[in-house]
Order: sequence, then C-alpha cells, then structure tokens
Amino acid sequence: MSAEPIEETMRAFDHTAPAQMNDPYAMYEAFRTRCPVGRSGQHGGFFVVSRYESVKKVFEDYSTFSSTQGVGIPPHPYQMFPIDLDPPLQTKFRRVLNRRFTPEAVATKRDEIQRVIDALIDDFIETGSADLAAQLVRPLLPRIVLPLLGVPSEARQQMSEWIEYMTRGRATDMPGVIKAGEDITMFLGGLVARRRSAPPVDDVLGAMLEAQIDGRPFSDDEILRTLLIILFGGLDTTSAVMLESLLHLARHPQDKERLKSGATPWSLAIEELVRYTSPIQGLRRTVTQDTRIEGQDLKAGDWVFGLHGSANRDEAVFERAAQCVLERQPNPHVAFGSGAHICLGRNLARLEIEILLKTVLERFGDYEVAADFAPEYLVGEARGMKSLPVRFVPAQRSAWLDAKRRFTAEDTSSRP
Amino acid sequence: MVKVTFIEHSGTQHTVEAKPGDSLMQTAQNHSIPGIDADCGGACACATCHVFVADEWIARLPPVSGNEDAMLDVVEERRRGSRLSCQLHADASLDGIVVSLPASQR
Ligand code: HEM
Ligand code: FES
Repeated sequence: MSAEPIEETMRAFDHTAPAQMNDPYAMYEAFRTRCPVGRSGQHGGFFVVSRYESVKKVFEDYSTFSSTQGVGIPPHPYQMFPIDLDPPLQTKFRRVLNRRFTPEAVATKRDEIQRVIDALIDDFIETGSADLAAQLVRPLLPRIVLPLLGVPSEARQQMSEWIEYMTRGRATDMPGVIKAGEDITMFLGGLVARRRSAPPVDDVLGAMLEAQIDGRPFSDDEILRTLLIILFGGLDTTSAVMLESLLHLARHPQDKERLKSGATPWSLAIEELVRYTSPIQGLRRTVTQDTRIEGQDLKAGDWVFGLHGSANRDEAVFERAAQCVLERQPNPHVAFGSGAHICLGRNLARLEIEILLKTVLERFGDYEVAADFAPEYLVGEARGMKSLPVRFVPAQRSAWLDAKRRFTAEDTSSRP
Repeated sequence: MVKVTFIEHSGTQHTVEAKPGDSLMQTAQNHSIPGIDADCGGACACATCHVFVADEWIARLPPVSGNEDAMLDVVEERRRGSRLSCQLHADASLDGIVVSLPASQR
C-alpha cells in the first residue's frame, strides 16, 4: 500500500470491499498520518475522517453533521428511528427507549441469557468441536433480542434471514434488499396492529405502545422503524465482539487465566474487547452547512464517513493502540458511537458478552483454535468474523452445572 | 477553585470543588455524584444532564443557546431554572452555585 500515493488509496477506499476490510488497520493508520480527511470516489463519492478527535466532532456536532439523510453507504433503502433522526426529535425517542436498556433493566435478563447460552452449548459440548460463530454466537442473539422487543419466537428463523439479507445485500442486490425490507415491515406492521388491541405486555413494543411523543401516541410506522433498528443494531455488532474476544483469548492464554482468576476485572476487559473489535467500522453523516475539518472544506450535502474503527486505533489517544490490553484504563473508545446516538443497547451488549465469555471459560475453557486459522470477515459498516472453528475436551451437558451453580452462588454483579 | 453544590432528588447534598473550565456535568461525574447520566458526553445532544439551578443563580448564568433550549423542551418537568449541566462551565462567577437534580434523567 505504501507504494501507492495515499490519495489513490483513499480514492479507492470502500468499506464494503472484503479485500480492503479483512484487515483495514494499516490502511487506517496511513489515513490518520497522511490524509486525515480524504475523499473516496466510491459509491458516488464521500469524505473519510479517520482521527479520533475529528471522528468525535463529526458524531457530536449534529447541527453540522446530520443523520436525517441516513447513516449508511450505500444508503439504506428504509429509514429507521431514532438512528436516522437528529436531536431534538431523536432525543424524544431515546427518552422512551433508554429506560428499557439501563444497566439495571438489562440485568433482569441475566438468567434468561444464561439459559439460552447453556442450551446452545449443550448441543455441541459432547462432541469436542464446534464453529462458535454458527453454533453459538449467531443463534444466540436473536433468541435474546426478539423476546425483549416483543417479537414472538416462532418468527425467529424468518426474521434472522431477513435481517441477514438486509444488512449484507445492499452493495450487491438492492432489489432483493428492498423485497426483504418489505417482507419484514409487513410482518412487524401486522405485529404492531395485533398488539394494539391485545392486553399490555412488558417489552419494548409494549413501552412504545403506551408512550407519548409530542402529546400523542407513537404511530405504527414510527414503532416499526424503531423495532427494526434495535433488531439490526444488536446482532452483527455484538456477535463480532464475542467472536473476536474468543479468538483473542484462545491466542493469549495468559489473558484467559487473568480473567478466570479475577486478576483482570471483567468490566475493563469488555470495554477493551469492544474497542479492539470496533464492530461498527464507520458511519455516514451528511453536511448541513459549509464547514471545515482538518483544513478540508466541506459543502452542504457532502457525505462524511467517520471511521470508528480508525479512531479507536489512534495512537494520539490510545497507547499501544494496535494491541488488546485487557486492563486498559481509561478507555474512551468510540465503538458504541459518540454524541446523541450513542448506542442504545450498549449495556445489554456488555452483559451478553460477559455472560458468554464467562460461560465458555467455565464450560470448555480449554478450547483451541488451529494455529494456522486466518479469520475472514463479513464487511460493511459492521465488520465481524465469519466463522471460528475450535476444538476442546468434550464435556457434559448442563444439567449437572445448574446444580453446581446453585451451590457456588457466584457473584452476579455485572455492572461495567 | 469553584465550589458547587449538587442536591440529589432524595435531598442528599454534595458540595464539591470544580476545576475552572470544567462543566458542571463533568464536575458531577468527576465526583461520582449519582443522578446525571450525560449519555452524549457533553455534546448538548441527549438531555440526560438536566439540573434545576437555584433561583438566585438563574440570572447570573450565560443565556440558554438555541440547541440547549430545544433539548430542554424534551425533558420531563422543565421549569424556571432548568439547564443542561454540560452547558454550564465553572468559573469564579459561579463560586457557590447550587443546583438540584430531577427525579430521573431517563
Ligand atoms: C458491541 C455491540 C454494539 C456495538 C459496537 C454498537 C455500536 C453502535 C454505534 C456505533 C451506534 C451509533 C450509531 C450512530 O452514531 O449513528 C449504535 C447505535 C444504536 N445501537 Fe448499538 N451497538 C452494539 C450493540 C447494540 C445492541 C445489543 C442493541 C440493541 C439490542 C443496539 C441498538 C442500537 C440502537 C437502537 C442504536 C441507535 C441509537 C440512536 O440512534 O439513538 N446496539 N450502536
Ligand atoms: S450531557 Fe448530553 S446534553 Fe448534556
């Protein structure tokens, strides 16, 4: 890459191109040091911002860098709330949603998350090998998020397929994406209508049906667009961190030991694993008024892609930024975003990651990844490992474990 | 140093020293005072750092900006003295200021 002038690399930058994004970090470093704001010629052209301070500015100054024209490149065909809104309207949605996702609120899901994880592990633990992406991490998350939202579990398989299609297909099959979007909105629309005339239920959908915005109830359309982003936001991202963490721990036995012994606090480790993974590599904003950033003039209407993945590796803020240092503190990473749109589900994600890693270490903590394993990534705004094959000493299903856990009554404090 | 008193909704008082230039939101966080969530980190973009400024201090503060005003419209129980604490910066003129916190920022 260094042979090529940086402007050339920048012009070719495409976060949807697997060849660039399988390992983008050397490219980001070149951007940060030699072209902190540059212009990609892909997808109609957009500016790319790579330094920590500038990325933060883009995501915090919503009056200049707006979300209302969408946050994906290429644009998502379907507007979602609150992600495609600016404050103060966006804030009104967050006020209704935030209280369902506080550390205290998500902690009530701990037992349920544990049960789902144990059941998935039971399906392969006696065999001594598994693809942790296909057999554990990917099936896990919809089982937690769908009931939390209020989507019946019968719809799980179909929903997962639609979501997979909508998140992955934008660059390659737009008509197919639009069709999947229509199917999913039909389904969710029907669900919202049914729930309006049913007795109230304590889930996210229930909360939106009861809440008011500007002195009136939320419309079916607003509710549906909100359910959609909570669905999209919580799956690929969280699974990316889980898989990257599992790979890291397999390759760094001393980190694994320090977590198991309690020498490394889980709360710090999880923030670092989230920073190190940066599942959202970048998102778009649209310039609302002519402005300047790092000496580069931007005009109203320009697209700006802020790279969370690069900001989180900026040596100006993080020492040994390329390394995963589990005890890193402070850790002001922007993996959950920054400013108004800071991730709604961050406390849930932290809890899910913690329970998953603890349970794997407890039940088959001796797992190994082949020495020549080279991870491949699904890419786009979100980047996550495709598969993670592991081997371990076969162990028993969880019936005996329940009994053991009851006796040891471990600490259940999960607060990050 | 600038003295700031935060009164939690429960009535618990905390009088702390603010570093000049820090916002009252940062000051509360530096001293682990509960009740100010500050989700957006001070970008005037989340309205989870709402405080009620004591009457005698209201007129001594810088005016509410357009963005702050719009965000204050979103909080429950906006009233006279409502401000976003990330938009108030400690300096000598605020020495002794008293602010109280709403029941919940959520
Ligand atoms: C490690 C896992 C996760 C990461 C790295 C992550 C990352 C992000 C980022 C960077 C944003 C900011 C978007 C923007 O600036 O436009 C965001 C927003 C959001 N996230 Fe997450 N997320 C994760 C998990 C979750 C989970 C588990 C859920 C829900 C179950 C969720 C739901 C959302 C929603 C609804 C938004 C939009 C908030 C708004 O626009 O106000 N995320 N997330
Ligand atoms: S911290 Fe978000 S508005 Fe003050």
